[in-house]
Amino acid sequence: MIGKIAKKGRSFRSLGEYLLRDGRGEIIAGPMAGRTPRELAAEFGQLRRLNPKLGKAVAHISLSPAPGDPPLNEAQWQAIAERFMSEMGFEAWCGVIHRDTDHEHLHLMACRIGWDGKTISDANDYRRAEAVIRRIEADFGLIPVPDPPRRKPKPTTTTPKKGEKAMNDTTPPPSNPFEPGEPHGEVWPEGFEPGRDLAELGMIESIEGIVVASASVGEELPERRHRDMRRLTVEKDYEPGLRQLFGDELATVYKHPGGAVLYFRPGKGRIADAGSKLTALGDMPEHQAAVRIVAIAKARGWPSITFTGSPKFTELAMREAMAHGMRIVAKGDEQTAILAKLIAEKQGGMGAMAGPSIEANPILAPLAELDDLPAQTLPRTAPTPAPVAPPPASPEPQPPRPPFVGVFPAFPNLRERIKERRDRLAHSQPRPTEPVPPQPFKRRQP
Amino acid sequence: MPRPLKSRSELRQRFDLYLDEGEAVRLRDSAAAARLPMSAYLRRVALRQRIEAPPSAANVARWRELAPLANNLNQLARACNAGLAPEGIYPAVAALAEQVRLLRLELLGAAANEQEPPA
Repeated sequence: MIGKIAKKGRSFRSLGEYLLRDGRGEIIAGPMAGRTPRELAAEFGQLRRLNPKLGKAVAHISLSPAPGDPPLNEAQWQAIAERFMSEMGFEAWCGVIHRDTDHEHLHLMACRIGWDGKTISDANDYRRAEAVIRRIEADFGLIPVPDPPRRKPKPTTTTPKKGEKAMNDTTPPPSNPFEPGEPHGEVWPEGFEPGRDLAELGMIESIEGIVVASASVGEELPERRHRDMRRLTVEKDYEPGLRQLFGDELATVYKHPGGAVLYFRPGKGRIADAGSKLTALGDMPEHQAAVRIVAIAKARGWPSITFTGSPKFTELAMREAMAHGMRIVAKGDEQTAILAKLIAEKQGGMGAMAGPSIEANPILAPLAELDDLPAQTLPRTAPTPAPVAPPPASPEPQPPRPPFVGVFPAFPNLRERIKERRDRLAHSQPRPTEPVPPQPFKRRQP
Repeated sequence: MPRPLKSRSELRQRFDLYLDEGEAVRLRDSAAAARLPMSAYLRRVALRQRIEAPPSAANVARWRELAPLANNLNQLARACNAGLAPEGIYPAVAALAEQVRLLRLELLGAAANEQEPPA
């Protein structure tokens, strides 16, 4: 007798359909009252309510005679089925005999829930079933079938033997048929190697001094927010979204517990995506890394962005982010200098291209006089006269201001400019010990 | 290795529910009667989902008691059909066996579902 335990299933109905479809099987044993798949499923379904938490409640075992066994009649099959099921501990089951193959065999469909609502243990079920079948063979005078060969226990050490490869990842990347110098060799796609990605990420995280091109959210976020952002990588629309963004450039997306690694083509280069941090891996050119990283960040709606990496990458990425209108947070003096340079460049560029000058605009024109009118532009909420700096004591004629060009610079730093001017005046003019009464405003004549 | 993240659709939120002793006992009992954990039971009640009560222990016991009887009746009916018994008994035994079978289905509440039209 040969027994086979199929995988535990979820549906009595579908197993019943398989066993009894088109009259191929006949129910010959078991305590169930149902005769059709529908009735059986309803009956088992009621018993299943004794333990609704057990999802895979369907056991399916088949018994077939070994070659050379004498033909068994229905009563013998019934006795074998009852013996087997009671020794395996099943309580609600039914036995269906199939005679549509060369060898007639018995299917056993059982509910894995006992009368008390507890799950019937499946511990060591293959071995237990084997032992039961050996006993049945002895008792019913059947041919004893030798036990299947036992699997050797897995070696506990992971030390590779001589001549064995140490890496588990045995799939070699498709080799690059071109020489390193050739132009085609440069754009040959990189092999898909998840193990290498994880090792690379681990090294970047653990070893100080490795600086790679990366970008993250500008603000300090709590761990919870980082986790929520990383959750994007497990959502269903993650990969379609990226494909929409990059089209054919995106070759593969490899997901791992810490996020995902995006493989690009042509050429080499990957971006590791941890939700709130994007890191360029491999030999991705810096300009590509900048464009791709900023594109992902922009699509994801990051409120602000900060970069790590070489000055060249930082500059490229900041330029890109600025073009997308993202708020950039500069880290350290070097980055601040780069950002200031880019802002100046942008303002200069805008000024040169700008249409109407500020003084031609009747609404904005008064703002051009800002630098000349210190007291007037102070915040009006200060009622005490003390902080008000007196006008310069020696009003010497100043050189005429160069005309203001462009609209952009007049607004963003208005407050800073006022404050700066206040500070400058306060420093150059030591504050008098007694409060000076407010003087009526007098417009200076240039 | 961090625990794998669940997607937003799989995430569940947790909140506290304050019950007095009597309410807690009542809810715990009804959840146990439905063989559900208390939180699963409350969720189904609150969201008006179907709660499928298991068949009563008495019915299950009777269903089990009738199993050998049904088996014997089936064997009798077969024997009659094979001509091992006097003529004319077979229809009566077969009808009896069918009655017992339906009774057992009824005991588990599985017969009611049989009336539903196929989906």
